[in-house]
Amino acid sequence: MSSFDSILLPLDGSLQAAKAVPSALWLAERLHATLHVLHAAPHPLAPANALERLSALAAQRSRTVLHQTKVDPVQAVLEATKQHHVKLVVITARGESASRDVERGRTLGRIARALVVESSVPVLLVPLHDRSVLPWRSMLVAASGDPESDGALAAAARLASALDLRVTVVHVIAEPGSGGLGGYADAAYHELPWRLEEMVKRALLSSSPEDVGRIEGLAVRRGDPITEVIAEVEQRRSSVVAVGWHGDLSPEHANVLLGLLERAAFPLLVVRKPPPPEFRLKVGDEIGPRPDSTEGDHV
Amino acid sequence: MTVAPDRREAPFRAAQGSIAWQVEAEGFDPAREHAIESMFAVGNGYLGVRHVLPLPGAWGDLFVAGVYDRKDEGLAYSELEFLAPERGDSVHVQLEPLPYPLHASVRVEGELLAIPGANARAMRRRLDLRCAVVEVEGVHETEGGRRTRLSSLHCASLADPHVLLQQVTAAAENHWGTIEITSSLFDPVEAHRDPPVVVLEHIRSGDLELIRYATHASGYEVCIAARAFTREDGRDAVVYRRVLAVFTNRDVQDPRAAALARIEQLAADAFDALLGDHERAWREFWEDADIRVDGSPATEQALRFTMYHLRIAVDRDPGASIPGRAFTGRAYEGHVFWDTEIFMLPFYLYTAPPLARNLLRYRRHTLDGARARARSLGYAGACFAWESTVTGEDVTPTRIILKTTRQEIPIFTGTQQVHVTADIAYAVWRYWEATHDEAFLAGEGADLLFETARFWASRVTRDERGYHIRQVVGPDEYHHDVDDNAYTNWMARFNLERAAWLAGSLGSAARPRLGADEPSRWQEVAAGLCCAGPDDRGVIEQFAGFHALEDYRLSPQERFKAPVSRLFHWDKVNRLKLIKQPDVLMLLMLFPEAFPRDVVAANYRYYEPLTDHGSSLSAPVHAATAVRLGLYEDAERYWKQSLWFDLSNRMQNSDLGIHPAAMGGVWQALVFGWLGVRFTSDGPQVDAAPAVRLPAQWRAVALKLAWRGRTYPVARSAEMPGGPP
Repeated sequence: MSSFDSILLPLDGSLQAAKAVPSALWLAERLHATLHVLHAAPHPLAPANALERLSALAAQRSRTVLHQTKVDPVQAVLEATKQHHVKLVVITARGESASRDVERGRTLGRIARALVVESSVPVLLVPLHDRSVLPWRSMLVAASGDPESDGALAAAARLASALDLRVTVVHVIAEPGSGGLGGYADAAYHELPWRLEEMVKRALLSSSPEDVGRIEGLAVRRGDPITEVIAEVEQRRSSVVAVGWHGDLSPEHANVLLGLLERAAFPLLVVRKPPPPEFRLKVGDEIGPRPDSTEGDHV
Repeated sequence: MTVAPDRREAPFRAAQGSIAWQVEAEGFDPAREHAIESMFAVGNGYLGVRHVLPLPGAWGDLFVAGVYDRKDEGLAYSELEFLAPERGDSVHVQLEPLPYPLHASVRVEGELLAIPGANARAMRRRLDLRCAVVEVEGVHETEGGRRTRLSSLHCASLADPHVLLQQVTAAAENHWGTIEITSSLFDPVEAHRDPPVVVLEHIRSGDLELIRYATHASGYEVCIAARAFTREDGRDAVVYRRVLAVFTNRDVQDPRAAALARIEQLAADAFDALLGDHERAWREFWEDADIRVDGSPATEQALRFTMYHLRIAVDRDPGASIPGRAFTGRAYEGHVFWDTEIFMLPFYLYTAPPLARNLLRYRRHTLDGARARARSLGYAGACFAWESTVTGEDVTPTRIILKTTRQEIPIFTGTQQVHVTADIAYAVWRYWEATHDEAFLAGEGADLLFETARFWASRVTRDERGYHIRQVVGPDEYHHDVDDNAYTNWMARFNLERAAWLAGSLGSAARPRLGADEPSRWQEVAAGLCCAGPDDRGVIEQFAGFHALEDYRLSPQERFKAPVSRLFHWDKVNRLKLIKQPDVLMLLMLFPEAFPRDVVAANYRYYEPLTDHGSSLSAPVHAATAVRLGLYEDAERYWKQSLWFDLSNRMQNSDLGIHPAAMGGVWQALVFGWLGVRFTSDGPQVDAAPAVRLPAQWRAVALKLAWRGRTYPVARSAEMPGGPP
């Protein structure tokens, strides 16, 4: 059994939301996971035909569990990830609102947005224009060079290993003004391709050899990050793209993610930046001041 | 009842005192792990082992002094991105990284316990500086709540440099599962590491294990034998101890026999005795070398960390010296630089003089290589290589190739950075001054002084103004093909003068080693050598034409970075007033009596703003100079940057090893900067000038310095004239 042994599939009954079902089912089967189907609505569905009503009849299998609740959907989803020790959430970028063709300008629905912003669990976002094909063959990880990429890469490698997928890591050198994925504090000395290789090694330092072995290649592109990632996907025929995520959905910080969701025809695995590792080197300030002093020794 | 302040603070101070004897890391951060591997390395000058956790990506290397091999083209040179492929036919280019020998596994009911890992809790690691032991502890908790406490320690014996000691303890906290501890000298998963040494033999027999390696081209053989002892400690704990013996065919004819003999005779309780010997040897070292900084345990800790690494970098083998990153990492391929004589040697000279002598004997040992090099360049005497290993041949790369882009960067230091020859002579002289080791000076010292003087006398060119040394690189490596570099010329002049003096002093004893009129020739060249002095501003021109270079505005963001882009634009940088590290300021530090304060001040004001500190050697020199000038804000800033250089991974390149030369510079900045120590016929004297004050938190500093066969206590308190304002 892989470490992704519990998958959450929120469904609101819309056809749009149900587009996540095939991916969720495939993942649950391949990962030997329990599939938690969650429906939050004021009026629960009759259990006997709930999955059919949710356009998820195919999910009826021995390791599927249906949860219905009257609690607010956002609250329900967030609680479910904790309650059921969920390791992966599969959801469409928009559900009912897309089906009803409302709020057209929104890339992310309310529930998907809440998951991406507030949950620490990786979220597989199935975009509005998803044309992905199952089974997945390969994964592309978009590495910005920021620390968020580390978490995405390690999680992607772990998932890829469990699914027997090839992984390629791509970094896009953003052209000035194109809204790149990240800046470099050491820009004067930044040797990007080397950094990419070392960043990958650092991110996978505590990964198993099997996970590390999934990384097949490193690619560097130059241009608009959204366009280049899509181009790389098309070139490699990647099935899914993993991105590291810092949790801020404001346009100035999330333009690449939102842009990919709008334009991409493939699912996005969004991996939240892990909490800073618990590490403390007891030198300098860490040794502490004298009890009657106002300041300690500063490194 | 009130408690007197002293009694109230006593427990706190006691706790801080013990904290200042250790560096502790809690938890795990992948981004910092490789630097931790370097910082927590153990060694004894004969060998060094990085401290690694059982992780697939760990850089676990064992280095043995003097064991070099042909260059492996895939191995990085100074930074991970930098390759330096060709080095001709030399088979002594890179210090061979050998496989990590301290693998250990703990299993409970067959399940491998991994720390770090998802089930690891409360992991801490401690480098005990007093005993030079690395300890690791943590708890492994399974999903079902079964808790096992794990702890380990290991060290490289200072008492017996061929011995490594390792202990692993596993104790069940709340279960009765069977605990099994195993170890290995070799991990087959690592077998494809680069460069793979040749495994000649690997056997296990009962509690014995043996492995033999061979280098590919240089003909060295390394043998490691290990013996394990297991005992149960109560019902629920297992203690596993291992003694490893490391020998090479550099030490003995049959390293296999020697390694086996070393461990086969061990009794089950030998471990405690060996550990005790090791701890005793370190106590003796600290007895002479320790520095107390009352009021600043953080400074004490950092200084002890510095001295710990300096001590584990050196042994008594005259056939090897200190690699650029000691035995803690692969950077610079284990090459020996001027770092040893100018930055590190003073520490040994004034705390453990026999070790300083040994470092100079290494240069005597490689004198033939330096002679051959001089001849090949068309000069007389000995021209020491900028980078050398065990033979003295030049192993400096001529170019760096960037791994990913294949861009080439030319390296000029090998052919032009000749000041190392004079640096060695300078170190010989300072050694003699500090020890009055007449036998050394008359023998090996004279060999070095005479041959290096001979080189300078042949290296100079003459015109109507006098003698010149052209087309060199000074300590500032951003500028090449320069003429009359002030540092090089002054050091060469010192070299010539001392050689001439020694020739006269030895009289007839020296004559067989000298050509006709050589000493007078050396004096003539020294007298006529163009050594720039202070101009009307008090500034000494770094080299001929430096003042006419194009101005460059240096931003704060560009400082303290590994100078990658400078190397990309080497041609343009060569035309700028931008320097990598102290050049003229080095001179002022090495000859403090020769330059009055106003000259030091003028040159500091001129050159400090032009320095981007692209070398770890830069900050300590600036700290020492700034103290001398009373520029305390600068002094404290540079002092802190250098003191915690590796502990903070300042230049983000401690992954490939710590910076021992910078550490030597820190020690000098303390002794010759903050304390202003000068040596007289009465021993070391602290500068108690009213203008000099200690950093605010320091109440007092105390240490010992060796001088001419005696050890002197040296102390300075904040209450002395010149204490805190």
